[in-house]
Amino acid sequence: MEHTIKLKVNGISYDVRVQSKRSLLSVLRDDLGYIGVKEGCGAGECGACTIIMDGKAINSCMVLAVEADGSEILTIEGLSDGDNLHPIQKQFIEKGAIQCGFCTPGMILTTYEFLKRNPDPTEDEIKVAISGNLCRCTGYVQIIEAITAAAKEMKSNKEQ
Amino acid sequence: MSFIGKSIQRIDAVSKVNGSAKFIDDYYFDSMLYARIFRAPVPRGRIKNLDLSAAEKLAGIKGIFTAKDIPGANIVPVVEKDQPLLADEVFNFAGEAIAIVVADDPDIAEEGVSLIKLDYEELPSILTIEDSINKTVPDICSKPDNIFSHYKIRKGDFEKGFKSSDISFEEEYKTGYQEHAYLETQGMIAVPNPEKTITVYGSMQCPFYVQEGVSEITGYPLSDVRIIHTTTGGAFGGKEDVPSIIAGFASVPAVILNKPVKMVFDRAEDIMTTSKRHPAWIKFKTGFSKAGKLLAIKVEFYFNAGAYSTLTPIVLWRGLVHAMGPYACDNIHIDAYAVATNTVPCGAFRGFGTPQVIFACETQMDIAAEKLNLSPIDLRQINILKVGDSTGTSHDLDESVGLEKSLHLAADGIDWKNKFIPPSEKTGRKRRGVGISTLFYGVGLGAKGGMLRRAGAFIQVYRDGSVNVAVGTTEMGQGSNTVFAQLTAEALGCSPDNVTILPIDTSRVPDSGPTVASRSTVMTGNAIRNAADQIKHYLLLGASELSGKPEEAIELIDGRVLTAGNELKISFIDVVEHCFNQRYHLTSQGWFKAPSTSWDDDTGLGNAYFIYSFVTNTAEVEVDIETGEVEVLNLVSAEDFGQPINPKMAEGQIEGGVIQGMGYGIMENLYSEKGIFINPGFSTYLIPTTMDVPLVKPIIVNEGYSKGPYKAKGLGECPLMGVAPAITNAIYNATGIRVREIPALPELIIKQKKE
Amino acid sequence: MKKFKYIRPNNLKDACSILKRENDIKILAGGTDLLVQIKDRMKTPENLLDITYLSELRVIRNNSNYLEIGALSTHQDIIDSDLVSNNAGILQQACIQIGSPQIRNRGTIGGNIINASPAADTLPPLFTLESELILISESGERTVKIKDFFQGPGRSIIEPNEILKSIRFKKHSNWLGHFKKLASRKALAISKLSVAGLFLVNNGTIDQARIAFGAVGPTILIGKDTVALILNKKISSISEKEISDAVIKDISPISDLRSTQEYRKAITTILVQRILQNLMKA
Repeated sequence: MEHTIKLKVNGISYDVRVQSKRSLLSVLRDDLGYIGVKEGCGAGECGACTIIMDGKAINSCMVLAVEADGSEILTIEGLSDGDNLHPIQKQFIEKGAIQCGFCTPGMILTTYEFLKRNPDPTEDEIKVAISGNLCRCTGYVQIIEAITAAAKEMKSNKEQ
Repeated sequence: MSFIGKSIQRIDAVSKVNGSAKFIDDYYFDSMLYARIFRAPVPRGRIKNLDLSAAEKLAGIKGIFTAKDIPGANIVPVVEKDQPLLADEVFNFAGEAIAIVVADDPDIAEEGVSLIKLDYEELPSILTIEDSINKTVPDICSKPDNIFSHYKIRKGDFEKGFKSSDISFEEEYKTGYQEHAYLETQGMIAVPNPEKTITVYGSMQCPFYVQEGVSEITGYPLSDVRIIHTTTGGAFGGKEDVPSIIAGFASVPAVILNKPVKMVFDRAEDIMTTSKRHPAWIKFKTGFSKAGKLLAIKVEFYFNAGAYSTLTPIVLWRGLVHAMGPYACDNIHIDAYAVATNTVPCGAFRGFGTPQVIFACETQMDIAAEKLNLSPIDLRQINILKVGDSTGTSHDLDESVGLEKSLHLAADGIDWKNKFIPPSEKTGRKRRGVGISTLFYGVGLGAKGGMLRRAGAFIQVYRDGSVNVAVGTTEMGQGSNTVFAQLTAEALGCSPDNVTILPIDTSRVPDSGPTVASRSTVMTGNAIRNAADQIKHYLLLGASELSGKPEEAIELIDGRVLTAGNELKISFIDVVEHCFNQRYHLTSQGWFKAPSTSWDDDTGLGNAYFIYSFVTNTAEVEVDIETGEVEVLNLVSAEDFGQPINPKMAEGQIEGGVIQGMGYGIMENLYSEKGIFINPGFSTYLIPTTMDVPLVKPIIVNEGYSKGPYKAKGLGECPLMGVAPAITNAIYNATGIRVREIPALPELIIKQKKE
Repeated sequence: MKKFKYIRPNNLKDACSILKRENDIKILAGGTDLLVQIKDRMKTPENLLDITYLSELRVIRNNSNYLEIGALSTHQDIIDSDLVSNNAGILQQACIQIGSPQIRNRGTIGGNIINASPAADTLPPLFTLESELILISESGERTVKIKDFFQGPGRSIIEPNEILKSIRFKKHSNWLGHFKKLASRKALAISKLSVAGLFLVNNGTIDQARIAFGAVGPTILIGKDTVALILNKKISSISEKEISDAVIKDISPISDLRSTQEYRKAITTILVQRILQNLMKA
């Protein structure tokens, strides 16, 4: 059973024809080429597939593409402006918060949505915010440092 | 300015933060097909009939392949050649692959799998170490008595040692499975090329193992099998030998159908069917003088190898070599056995046989300390290895032993002096305690590494001064590519910004062995140095010709040319241009063979590894005495791995590894029923989330190794191995409850408390 | 995944008639449970009815002395709601501990209820609030008390043609509520046992008490004996042994991959003791 759905991804509008059983994750990756969205478990249990849909961080493996018809989506590809990286991306690099890189896109997007809601977070609040993003390489230490630094940088950018 | 010990930015960081880094599932080839696997439903059985008819009729199915279709040999070559790629007449573990189903859509392939009907006769099977030892079913594997491997150490006279001991005691320990839980599942794409050649891309640690595996399966000579490593999303040992199997699943249909075939596992399949850390049963006896000197050690331990031998012999041997701990002791008697069961074959996981024995040894030391009325620190201070001492296998240590330093730094790091209070003095519902463990770890493959103990590197300097480096060991997140760029820059005299590490390609560089055993920095690092030195010879010659200064007086540093500390007007690029004009050869092959080691199978003595790294872990926990819940508050890891090339990345490795060790100690558990893992998902196999992590303090201790590249040793596995006993010793210090089994789940702690 | 037909109704009335008309149809809301089950082939519906966009089911509102929560309210909606903070804080205590931020953004309270896991975290608090479930179908609405709703793991008395519209309960603004869950890690973890307790305390005496247990039986269990023990008593007068005996009578845990029977028995008791100790401090 196929549907034609409208998705706006990183500011670009798409009309896509999809079977009802297709996940948003697989349509973003396979049909639209946004390979930065990763599949870690396919069951909403690791956060690697996190994207922002209509302003909320969600696991794209647990949303049918048809459910997302008409929504606005941000993937990691949409976060930087050409070669200009977003402060969160810059701080992840600065603080060494990347090792194998597989959890990184989801981690950064969750952070992006979180810092929008809470621009001045405590460390505990950061830990809760990314508790749905598993990382097996870093032990989270440098990730938390990166998010703390990103919040600071974004706050001071705003103040300027 | 030196790039050694400098925390430069990871060279692959940008592509990883902007989503452009390509992992295997991100690759697409024209006309690519998808493979799924039909697997055995029970632990052991004889195949009577495989009915593929319904599956074959399904629209979109392009082929179904069984053992008889394999063009080459139906073997997954590891140490032995006892494991088939596809079970033929008999299958030996639940989940063993029997058929490969290929379709133009992964869902159709999956449906095809569900339509296959297997008629089999179930055979009696063994699921536990105990049943294997007791041979409740005899001869379930290729070796007699269900024993895949046995190694021993016979040093001194342990009976005399125990007789002369003032205190001796024996304990039993158990450790469980651990799942790697890399975030990126296993995956390969096999692309057939004209003239019967094949290229296989994928997530892996050991391209040359995969090359051998694909050659075996396809029957193609090695020269016609090209393996290309793609960005790998974590491995930790789980992608050491297993990728050869995945590559086999992709290659068989690729070669027969002459189309690219993608084989990517889903999470449940990955957890249920790929290798794990060996569960262990360890009997440990130690004898001490009343002053605390270790006089005798007797260990008997068993690893549950699973259905096939795979990497077990080497894992077992490493466990053997490290089982007595980083202590001087003259009387050591150890028997190590790896027994077969009808379960998933176990293999490599960061630590490779040592976390199990370290758990036993370090708990034993903690118990001994109490019996001897010594603090755990003092007991270790009396016994730990120092320069001039000899290891348990009689290897004289003549340099680079940072253990004592790490002991004191780790103790201070957790404020041991103020926090180590005996459990009897603890009160209240939440009780805190500290614990410690020390370990040593042989870097490299060791005396049993055979011909694998070498590595190659290829360097090419281009006319514009940019540099390509090809190596044979892989980047899987640990940062090796960045380290290699730093080493290259240091050795050649350019900037790491001008160095590009090429994707690992078996056609570019000689077989460099596997990316395991914490060997990459030393082995590949030294190969890079060897290659760079050859080019440097010409660069210095060229710089001398250009500048008129003598070669001996010239230094190349970070793209600049200096003599007697003064910067000249010519640059690295000018020197390169000149060398090109002179037609000097600015490419080279580097080679490094590991320093010598030795081993005697009868005595279990020898210089097992060419150098050792040393670690002390301390942990602080808070235990809810009523519920048994453990909160880890602090983890300190003081590690001597020689010169850190990139300290920030090294700290990242320590932090990540320590959390894996914590998971192993208190949280991660695989449950099986009838030989099948029943919790193959991230909501049921639990690894630490951000909410679970303590404060982590990595401490780098640098006892340089004279033969290491810029005095570096090996780091990769160090952080994980000793964390579990540091935590369980802390649990004891907090509560007086001694666990002899990990994971130390609250249920176990409460059960232990009652007993 | 097995194929299915995806249907998006225009409104609630539409949804109800589609449900009546189609056989083999399941309701899709947040999808955090259902889509996993479909992937694992535990459920294989021919049709999926996506009610996510029926915004009238996502309202949290005051209804004289009731609070009514639309079934499509996400866990995050409930956490963000002042109405819930002020009148049923115990429910927020549970929602904050469910899954992960991503799951809380999608998972709905309605889904948590209909999925009917005995380990579901919103359920023990809803029991203590003596919630009523409003079910709607083409034939109209009916109200079911939550204690009568569940039949066993994954099973409830909802009819195939019914939709859970909302959950309502009397406001309990001056009650003291405690929800405690034990799991093997601090996030993304299913409860191995949980206790919800809602109390009216007057001068150290428990005037009213409601206790419910999760993950220690085939469905949520009401702490009948435990309540009987503590009602109208001074908290300080109740002994640990008495609590233990009563709790053991109320629960029927098993051993499974999350925990053992012995542990669940022992620790459920301890959680109840602690909840009562917290009451004393308040």
